[in-house]
Amino acid sequence: MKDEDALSGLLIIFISSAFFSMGGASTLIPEFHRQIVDLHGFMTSPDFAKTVALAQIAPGPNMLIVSLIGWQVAGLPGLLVSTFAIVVPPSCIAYFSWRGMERLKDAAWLRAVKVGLAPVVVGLMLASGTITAQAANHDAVGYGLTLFTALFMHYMKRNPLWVIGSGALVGVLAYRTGLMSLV
Amino acid sequence: MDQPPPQSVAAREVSLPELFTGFLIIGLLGFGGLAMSAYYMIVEKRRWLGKKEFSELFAICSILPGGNIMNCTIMIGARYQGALGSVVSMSALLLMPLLILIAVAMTYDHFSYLPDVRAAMAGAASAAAGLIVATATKLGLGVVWRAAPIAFALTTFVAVSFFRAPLWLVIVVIGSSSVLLASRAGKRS
Repeated sequence: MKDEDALSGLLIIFISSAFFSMGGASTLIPEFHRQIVDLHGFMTSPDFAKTVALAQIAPGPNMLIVSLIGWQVAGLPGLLVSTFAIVVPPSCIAYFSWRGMERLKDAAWLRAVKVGLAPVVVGLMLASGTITAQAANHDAVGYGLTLFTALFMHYMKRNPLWVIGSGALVGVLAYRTGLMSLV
Repeated sequence: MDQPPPQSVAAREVSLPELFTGFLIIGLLGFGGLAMSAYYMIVEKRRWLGKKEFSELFAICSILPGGNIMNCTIMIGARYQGALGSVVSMSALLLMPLLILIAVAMTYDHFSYLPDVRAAMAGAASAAAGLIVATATKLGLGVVWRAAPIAFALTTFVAVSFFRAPLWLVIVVIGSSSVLLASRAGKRS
């Protein structure tokens, strides 16, 4: 794969995704997986899952997962191109719409958009979870860890960092005791 | 002693350096999403916006394409210092997270030859998937338990998860049907 191809691919994927993003970066994960792993083969599925995890560890906007994908695919130029693609076009729209905000905020259609998109966001988020789980896991230990984490976080409110750290620890223990093999 | 944040803030000046340091801190504090750290900094600490103004701004920024807090950053920057304000605020927001991201990625790349590190990363990835599932199920509890929203959520899930439907198709077909239905219901009530 030529580097220019990767860079232009990243640019197109992330600019087009940015326009359909709603409910945050997590809802874009299925689309990123489809484009980056399935269509373009820029990354393997397990590497994609690791990138999702690494992005959760770092602070800042969740959207910066695209910067990390860019970094993994094409180094610093990839990071810069990807960050540009996800940040600049939506920022231009936001900049030019802020003057119209006063009229926007009471509009009835705004409420309809919010109410109407809510179930779609839930569906996307759930798909995001299952696709990341399929990418991350290749045995019962992995799926068990995903399931346990999901139940734990659904019922208790804990810092995500703490939970991901515990997952890492379980990974090491499972590997050391021979319960889990590395891909 | 801290007073409760006002509902709305009268027109005031916020300088470029203030915007820069404010958004720099928001970026640094925001682990796992920026909404909390942005609210704390913008409403409680610096008082750039009142509570009500912030929630109105946030609602609109969530609907515009792109990251919600990133859109708020652009709009707050524009409100106080025009285009330059937007550029400075956004750069400040992204600066530290990007540097940290590069440091984390380089550290992982450097040590990924160690089996233990790869095992840790695999465990972290499994846990991260669980985190996303939990976010979805918690969000799901907020959906109105009526036939239409549940059908829209399930159709989206099946289309994306099993049939790998592209996002634009989901938004154009399922999203617009759902919004249309919601707007008709809104007019009736």
